[in-house]
Amino acid sequence: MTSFPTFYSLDAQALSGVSVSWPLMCAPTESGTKGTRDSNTLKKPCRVLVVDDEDGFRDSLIFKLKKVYGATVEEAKNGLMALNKIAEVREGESFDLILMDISMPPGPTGIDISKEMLRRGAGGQIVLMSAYSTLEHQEEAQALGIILLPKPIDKDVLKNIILSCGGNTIS
Amino acid sequence: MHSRTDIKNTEPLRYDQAHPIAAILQTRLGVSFAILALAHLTTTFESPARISWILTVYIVLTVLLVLLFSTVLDRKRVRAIPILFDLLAISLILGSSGGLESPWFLLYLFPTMSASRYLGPTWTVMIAVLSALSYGTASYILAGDSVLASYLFWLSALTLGGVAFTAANLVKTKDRAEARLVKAVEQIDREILRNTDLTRVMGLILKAAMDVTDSDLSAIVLVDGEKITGTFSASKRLGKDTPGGWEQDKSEADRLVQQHYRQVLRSQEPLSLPEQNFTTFFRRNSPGRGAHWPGRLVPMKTEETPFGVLGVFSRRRLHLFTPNDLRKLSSMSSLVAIAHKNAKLVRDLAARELEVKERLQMLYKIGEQLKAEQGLDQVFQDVVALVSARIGSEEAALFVPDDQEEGIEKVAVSGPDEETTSRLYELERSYQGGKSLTWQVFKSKESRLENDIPLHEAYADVYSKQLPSRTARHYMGVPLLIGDEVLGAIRVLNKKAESYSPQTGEAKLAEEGFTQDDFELLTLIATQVASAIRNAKFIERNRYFENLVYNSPDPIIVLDKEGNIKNFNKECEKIWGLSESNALNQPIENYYESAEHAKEIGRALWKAKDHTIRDYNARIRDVDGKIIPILLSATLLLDKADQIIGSIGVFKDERDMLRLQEEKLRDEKLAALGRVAQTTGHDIKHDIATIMNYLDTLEEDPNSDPDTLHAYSAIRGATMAVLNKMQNLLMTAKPKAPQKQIVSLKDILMEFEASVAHQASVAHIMFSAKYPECDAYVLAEPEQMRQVLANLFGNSLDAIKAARAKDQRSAGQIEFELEVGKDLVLLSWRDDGCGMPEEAQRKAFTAFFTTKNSGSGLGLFITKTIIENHGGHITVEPAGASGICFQIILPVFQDNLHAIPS
Repeated sequence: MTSFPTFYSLDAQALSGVSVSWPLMCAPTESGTKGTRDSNTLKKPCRVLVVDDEDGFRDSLIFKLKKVYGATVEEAKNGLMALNKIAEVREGESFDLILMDISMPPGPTGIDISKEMLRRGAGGQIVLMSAYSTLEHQEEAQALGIILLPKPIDKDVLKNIILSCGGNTIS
Repeated sequence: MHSRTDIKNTEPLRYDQAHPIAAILQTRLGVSFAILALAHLTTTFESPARISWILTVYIVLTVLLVLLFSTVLDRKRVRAIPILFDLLAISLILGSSGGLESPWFLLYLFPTMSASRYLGPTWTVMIAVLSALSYGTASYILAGDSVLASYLFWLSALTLGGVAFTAANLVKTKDRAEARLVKAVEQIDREILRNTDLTRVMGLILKAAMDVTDSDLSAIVLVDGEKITGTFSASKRLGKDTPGGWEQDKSEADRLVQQHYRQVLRSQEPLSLPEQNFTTFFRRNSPGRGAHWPGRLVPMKTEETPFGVLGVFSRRRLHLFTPNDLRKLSSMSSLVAIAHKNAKLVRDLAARELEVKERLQMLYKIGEQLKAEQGLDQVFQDVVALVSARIGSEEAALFVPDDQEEGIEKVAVSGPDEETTSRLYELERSYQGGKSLTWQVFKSKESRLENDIPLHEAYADVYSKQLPSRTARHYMGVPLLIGDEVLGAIRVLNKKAESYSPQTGEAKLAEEGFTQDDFELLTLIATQVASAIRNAKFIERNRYFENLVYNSPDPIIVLDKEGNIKNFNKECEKIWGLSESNALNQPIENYYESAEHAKEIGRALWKAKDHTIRDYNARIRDVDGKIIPILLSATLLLDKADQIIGSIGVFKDERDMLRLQEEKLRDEKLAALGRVAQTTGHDIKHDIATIMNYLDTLEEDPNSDPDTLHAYSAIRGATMAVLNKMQNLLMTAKPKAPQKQIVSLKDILMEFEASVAHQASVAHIMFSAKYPECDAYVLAEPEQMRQVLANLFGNSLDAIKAARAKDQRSAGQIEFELEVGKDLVLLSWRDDGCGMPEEAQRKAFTAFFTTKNSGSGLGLFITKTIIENHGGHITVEPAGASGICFQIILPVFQDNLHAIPS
């Protein structure tokens, strides 16, 4: 665990000093699971923006975020709407986490939107999702220091990300 | 050639040159004067005056008779009239001179002899009888009768008869001799006509010469200019006397003839041999006796030109060669001349025939050699080699028009030796207009023969330097003509002398240069060469086209005007399933669907514009009788007179096109399906993701009872299985390069073990894993690694189910073990399922291969693809009693920061 590839260092920066290690993403240890279950107290509701053009998936994810993590969730059907949401956000109510699909035809891709968000300096951890990610997507995400998760999203990985963004589980 | 007239003209047998009328007059007048003189000289006559009167009347009547009947007296019978006159006159004289007592009856001998000479033996006897009767009658009438007189009469009559017989016999003998001679001459004529060997003809002539002169040895010397061309000798009787001595006599005769012929030729007179004297006459049986035999040498001449000597020799010491003999011998000279001339003619003819034959043979050989089976270049080479060999020239070269048709180009050359040839070849490869003799020959289409080329003639000096003879003096150039078209020219330089030999350095040229014969020969060869070149060109072109047609990627068929197959190319062979040799010359209607269909196509072709049809829907029948649809494009072939000479057809196998269309369609369908699979696949993944999100939420419900949780777990397992299958499908439709990360294989395995634990327990499967102490890091895409494990799990699950279907007591165990080495990790995955037959093991990783009823045949294929994309390796082998073991080897990630690209 002593050495991480550059990608993860950048990742760590992007997560504002919160360390998200790959074992957590890939294979949650017993202790990790227990740890999260133990610290199950909700300090403040985590603000999450879910951007996806797939209604079913978006609804299910919002349902899960609300039920399991008690998060405050905003949704956007496409990238432009997401940018509007961010722009409309009031002071002190910025999103902690933005979960965004890559492919949202006919609009711009999640990667393009991420670039724009980063450019605008909007707060919040951006995490990209894709049912079918190409190597180019992977490389671009890596270059931006953004995590790219395959759909369906592993529940433990999601949990770790939520926790790292200051969120918590309800139960 | 001889004709009968030639021989007649020579008139070899004319012994009596005098005119019969003149002869009659001469003899009668002579005899009459002799009688007159005798009558006056003898005193015993009672009345010589009366005899004078009788004779005077006789002479007058004879003259009148001769004058009156001169034109008819040549005839044998009319010749008897003067003789009858004679008889009358003699009878009158006899009567007046004393009747039976007078010896004047002997006068009757005169007409008797005359008859023998003119009228032959029969008439001689008849005249003798007439004489005797006349004598008797005259005596009886004029002188009275007596006993003595009757005896005298009979005696006189017998005397006359005897003389007549003798004369007749002599004439007969003479006739026989002449007949023999005529026969001999005829035989000789025949032999000459038959072109018999000269020796044999000469032998016959010599035999005839001996025959007519009754001699024993004869010889001929023929002189042609200064040269003796031959002596021939023959002997008739010698062999019998002295066996073995013949040759000696013969050579003796030859020697004598050789010795004396010049003298005879000079004098042109017969010569007697030897100079007879008493010494030689009495020398008997001495060696070389032939030398002393009497002989005659007669010059032989035609039109005063002596050409030889004919000699005869007799072994009898006293042999009378009469002048007549000599004349006969002389007359033989014409025979010899004819025979000689004929032999010469025959020889010349034979020589010419031989020459013609040789020339024909040579031309045939040239034709053979130049048979256009070979390529043009070879023909050119052969031509020059042949020409220089046949003509005997120092150099021979062949020129053809160059590609630009502006000049002529030297395409082959032949010199006296190889080295010179190669040097000569480099000389003046192409001749431009107006610069050389050969160009002029080519341009004017006229052959040239120059035996004294001036040195300043263009190129002559250039050639002089290269040729061994150091000159370019003799020249012959002949255009290669076919009709009016000139295909090139052959040129030869320098006629070689007999002694010419490049090996010995002797390079002498023939003084006279090329002869007219050479010129003609070259012209002849040129015609052969021209046609050979034309043939070769034609054949080359023909071959080119045949090749083109035969190897065409499209089936091409050529028919003659009767509709028989003349060309059947490779593609045709394929379509019909017939070899060209079987199809050639067969009527095409046998190969179309039906004869009616063939006729229909023929009509369509005839009616079509330009007699050309395109993409006509036709049907052919292959060797198995199968009907094949084709698209036929065909045209009629017409000659210059617009007469049909055949047709040519190119076609396409419509089955190919249909097949191609089908393939294209299928590919398009597959591609569309692939696209659909891709999009649908992702949609499905979204749907699964949705299910999973809800499931995650439900599972987090703390109030759920264990049964509900169990149900959630089952849903999760089934959904994951769907997801995995979807992944395989997507990977196959569009393989994806792994997005590699450094991962702990141990973690992945443990996570996987946990994720399928529930599923395994539901299926009553003992699922156990062995991990090493230390972790193993590999560079891999976790998702794909999970897919590999899911595939192996699915495979084992199915195998165990299959085993249980056979045997309920089957255990159902899956074990996997991870071993970590320095560079490699080994993952062994073992189950005790139904196992795999050996055949299936070999094909296990092949796409779409499955032994299961419901399998897609993709799982293990994708597994292998993924492992190999990660630089690893997977094998399968039987394990335990029935199970199977997969072994996966992956390279270990070397724990080195510098190995990771930043």
